[in-house]
Amino acid sequence: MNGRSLLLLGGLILVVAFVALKRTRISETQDRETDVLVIAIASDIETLDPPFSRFQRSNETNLNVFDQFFRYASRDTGKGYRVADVGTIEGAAIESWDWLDGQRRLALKIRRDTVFAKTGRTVTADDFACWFERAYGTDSGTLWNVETAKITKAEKTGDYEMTLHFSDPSPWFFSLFRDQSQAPIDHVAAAQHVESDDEWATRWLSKNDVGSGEFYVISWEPGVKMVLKANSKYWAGRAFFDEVELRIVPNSTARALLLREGEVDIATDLSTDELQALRGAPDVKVLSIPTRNQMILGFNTNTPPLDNVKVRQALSYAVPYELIHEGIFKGRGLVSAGPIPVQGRFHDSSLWPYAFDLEKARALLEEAGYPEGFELTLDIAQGQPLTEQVAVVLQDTFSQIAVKLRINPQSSAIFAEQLGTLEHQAWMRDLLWYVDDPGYTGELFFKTGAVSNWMGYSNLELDEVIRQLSVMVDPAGKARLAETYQKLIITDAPVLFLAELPFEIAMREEIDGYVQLPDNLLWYYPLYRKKDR
Amino acid sequence: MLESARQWCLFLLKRLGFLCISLIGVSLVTFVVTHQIGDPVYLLVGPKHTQEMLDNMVRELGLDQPLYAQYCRYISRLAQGDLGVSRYTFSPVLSDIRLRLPATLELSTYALLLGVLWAVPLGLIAGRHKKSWAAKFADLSARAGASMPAFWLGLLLIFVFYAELHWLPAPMGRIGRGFEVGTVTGWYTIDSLLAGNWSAFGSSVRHLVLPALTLAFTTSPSILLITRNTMAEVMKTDYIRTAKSFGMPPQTISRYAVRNLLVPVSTMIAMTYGYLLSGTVLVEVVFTWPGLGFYAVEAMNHSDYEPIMAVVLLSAGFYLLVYVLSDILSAIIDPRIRVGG
Repeated sequence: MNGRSLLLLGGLILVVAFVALKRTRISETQDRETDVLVIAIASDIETLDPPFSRFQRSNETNLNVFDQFFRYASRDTGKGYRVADVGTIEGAAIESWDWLDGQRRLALKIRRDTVFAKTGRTVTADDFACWFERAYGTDSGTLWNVETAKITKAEKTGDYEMTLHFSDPSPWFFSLFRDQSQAPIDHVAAAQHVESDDEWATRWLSKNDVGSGEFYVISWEPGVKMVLKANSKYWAGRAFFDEVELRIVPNSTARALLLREGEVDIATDLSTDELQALRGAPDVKVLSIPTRNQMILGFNTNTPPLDNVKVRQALSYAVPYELIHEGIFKGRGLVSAGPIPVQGRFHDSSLWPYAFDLEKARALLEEAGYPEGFELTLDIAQGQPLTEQVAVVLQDTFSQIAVKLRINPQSSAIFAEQLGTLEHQAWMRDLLWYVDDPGYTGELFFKTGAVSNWMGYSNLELDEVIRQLSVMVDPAGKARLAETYQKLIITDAPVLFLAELPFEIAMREEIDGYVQLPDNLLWYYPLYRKKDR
Repeated sequence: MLESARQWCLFLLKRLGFLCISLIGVSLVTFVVTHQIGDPVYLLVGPKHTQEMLDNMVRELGLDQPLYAQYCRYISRLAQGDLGVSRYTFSPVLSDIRLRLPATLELSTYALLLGVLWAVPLGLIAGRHKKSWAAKFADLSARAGASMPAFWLGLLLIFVFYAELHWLPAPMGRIGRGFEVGTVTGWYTIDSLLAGNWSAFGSSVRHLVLPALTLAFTTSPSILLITRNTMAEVMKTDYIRTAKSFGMPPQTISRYAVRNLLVPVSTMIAMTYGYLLSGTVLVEVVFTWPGLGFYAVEAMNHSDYEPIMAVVLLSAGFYLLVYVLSDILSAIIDPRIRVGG
């Protein structure tokens, strides 16, 4: 057989193959069960062990698989979705509670009709007591929540009763204990998988869920998909969807295409352009919801010229707030106006003095002794197109006041490392304030030496305000302190508050019941398919 | 006989020595480079941590040791077959790789077969008849294949054959929803056949078509070009001219010519296969193919050292192994190679 014959044979095989494919067409994607919710996600789930869950994908799965201590109530917006009402706490695994001793003790009553979906065991106070023991033993993120909530002791006081002891009243206890990581696990099942070098069964629990939440995992093919089944014994009743299939589709263009074609019901993590393209697609809707996610540019306030407050104020006047809001976020987020997000409790826009005013910026720079401007390196994490776009806009406007901005994209690990070690001159990223409390934000971000004070910023007066906020449970007192908090940070300008980002998600038109949670996690339980309801 | 055996021993020792030194070099470079992409500790602990948590994590990962000590520890563990534990999947890297390697092998092998099926015959015709339509087509397709980014071609094919024509299934993995295949080989096409599940076989083939075509088209130009050029060179040699002048039939002349192509073309095929195993990254991402490339991308995104190291070492090892095997094959075909060393 010579080359020509081989070529002809190859061509013939291809033609036959294509004809066969056309005839058989795709059938395996068309017989989908109507009660399966298919969600295209960008990456695999990291772990099913909530205390060790660090990325959004795992947090979301764990939120849906475990039954947290508490949850937020929700309210309708009239715009086709509901939002969590962070001012109203409802019981989940905990049915009811009573504050004692001036909010230094909390008596918890555990819901009696709750069982662990996979093992069938009833959830008791022992599971909660073991949960606290594990938090202390594993030194994980859960422990951080326990300590930040000022809990000093957790004791079992009955088969279905626990009492928590606090060093001080904790204004954000409920917000922390509705986190995906704060949920009981079946301690008896976990104990059976303890190993000599793994006393908390972390290896086994990373791959096996033993929760009492609305769903439980029935299959997990790493890199391919995870399938969750509705817990028919869930105390609030079974979810609408019998199964939720999380399909891992790493390419965002493919995720958008699959949604458009009806192959999946929801596509997450799409780019602004892909969402824009989907807005006109038939049977697809895009929800765009303002959040408390702020785009922030932080300064290293320990090194010149950014140690000079007038320089930082000058740069605050050189931010084209409206242009960023309209040009980059297409008017879908909110224009930032201070350290408390516009939608946050205690936010006061009247305290915000900054607007795009280059004359004022130049005058302040001159006052600070930098009439000729200076060079500034802005570090950003790679692969964040929106951050890059905002950086380019700032580069342009800063150049008009002779500040030469050099944009330096870094790997996410280097970026995170340099935040921790205060090596950036300036950095930019988004920060989601999912606990709606200025005291919490202050403790985490603005207090001298705080764990995420990546500015090296220090103001002793502010530290005292934050300290008072962290024990203040009276709303009037909190509002008064929040005002001072805002004024001090706005004046010191350790960061630029650039914009408040919307949370955007695309789904098929028939999917309804969406509830926007403050941490932008997708809650599967309230979702339903309209035509079947 | 004895001399021949000595030559073979020397030849194999040299090649295996080269393989070992190269692997050590690759491991060293990869180790240093991956440790320059940032300290993963801050990513791993997240913003909610205490200094104690941070210090514990540093100790646990061994990052408090100097880089050379970390490297030595890694190599000694590697020698015992321990590739470490992924900080992202919480699984031993070896088991993660075992899970994903068959997907990459299956895709790469079918892509290579497709590539060889069209590149070799086309190269042969183009080399024999330099002014024919086939030669022009070969030139055009080789240029297109070599210059076209695989991920772009993949997206284009998805758009045409899935979204527009609906001939092929959605880019959602290796098989359609609801199909169960055994795990004898990890190759869905083979496992479904072994199970006698024809519909699963059909589904796995349909899912393979687009990614395999994409890879075949973008990686086989080198095979096509070397076949064409070598064929053209051979056709100019004295013995072919002599054969022609003796009036030998074209089929016989082609057979003589093709023998001379075996060494360079088989070497190029082997090298392409080696490349395919490490070069499927973007195609795996575009087609949601749960193979090693996709695994490596996830690891890179999370600064997960151990999987990155393992995937690079495995790819390099495979590439080098294929290279050595191709050398051995060449030495069998052409004894001058092993004599020359």
